Amino acid sequence: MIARRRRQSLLEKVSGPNAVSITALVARGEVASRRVQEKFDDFLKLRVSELEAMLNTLTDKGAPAALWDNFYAVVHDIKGSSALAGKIAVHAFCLSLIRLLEERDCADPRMGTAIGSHINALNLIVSHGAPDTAAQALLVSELARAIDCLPSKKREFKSV
Amino acid sequence: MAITKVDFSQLNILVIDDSPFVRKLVEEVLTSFGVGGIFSTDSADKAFAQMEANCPDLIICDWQMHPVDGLTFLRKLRQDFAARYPAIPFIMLTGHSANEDVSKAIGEGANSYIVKPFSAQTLMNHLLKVIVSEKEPVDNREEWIL
Repeated sequence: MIARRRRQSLLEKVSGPNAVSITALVARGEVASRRVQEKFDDFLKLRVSELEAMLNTLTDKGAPAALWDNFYAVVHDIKGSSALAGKIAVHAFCLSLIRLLEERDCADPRMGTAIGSHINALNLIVSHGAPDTAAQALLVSELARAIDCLPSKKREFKSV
Repeated sequence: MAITKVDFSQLNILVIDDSPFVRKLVEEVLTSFGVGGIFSTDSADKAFAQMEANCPDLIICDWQMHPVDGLTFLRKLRQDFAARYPAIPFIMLTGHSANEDVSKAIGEGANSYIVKPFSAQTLMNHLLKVIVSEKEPVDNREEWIL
C-alpha cells in the first residue's frame, strides 16, 4: 500500500519550545512597522524626484516606450506604498496619474503639463504634508478635469 | 483553539509585492515576529522560481501587481500548480475592501484577505487564522513511502 508522507502541520511548526507570547510579538511588530512607515516621506521625496527627472525626456517626441513603462512603474510603486502607509492624498493623486497614463493619448502636446500637475500635487505633499480633506478633494477634481480635456487612447504598460 | 504563544522560527514565508516599500514593511514586521525564513520577490513570475528554491509554508501576496496581478498568480497556483504545491496557505494583500473583491479572492482559493493599510496586530491575526485553519497537510514533493 502506498501512502503520502504527512508533513508537519503549521500549528505543530509554530508550537516550538521557544514560543513567545503573541502580545509581545505584536508589540515588537508595531515598533518595526512604525520604524518603516516613518521612512515613507523620504521614500516619497526620492520617488517623486525620479518622476520629475523622467518627465523632462518623457514627453519628447520619440521617447522610448521603456521610459513610459518605467515612469508608470514608479507611479504604481508610490500608489501601493502609500496605501500601506495610510497616505490617502498620495494614493488619490497616484490613482489620478495612473488614469491619465492608461487612458489618455501620450502623444498629445498637453500631456506633459497634465503629468506635471500631478507631480506638483505630489511635491506639495513632500514640501508641506498632506492637504486637508476639502483641499485634497478640490485638487483631485481639478486633476480629473485636466485629464478629461485630453483625447482618449488606451495604453498598456509593460513591467520593467 | 486559542493560541497565546507561538514560535515562528521554523516557518518559511514568501512575500510577493512589486513595491519595495511594502515588501520592506512586511519583511520587517515578520522579522520582528521571529519568522525564521522570509523570502520575497517583486513579481508573480519570479515567485514560482523562488518557490522552487525554497518552498514556503505560507504566501503573502499583493493583489494589485503589474503586469501579473495577485489574483492571476493565485489562480495559477491553485490550478496549474495544485499538485506540486498543494494548499499552501495564501493571504491576499489589497487596497480593495469591497465584498465582491473579498469573495473573488476567497473563491480563487485565498485563505485570508488583508486590506491596506494594516497593523502588525492585523497581520498576526491573519497568520494565526490560516495556521489554525490549515487543512491536513500533504507534501507531494517528498517521496512516497510504502
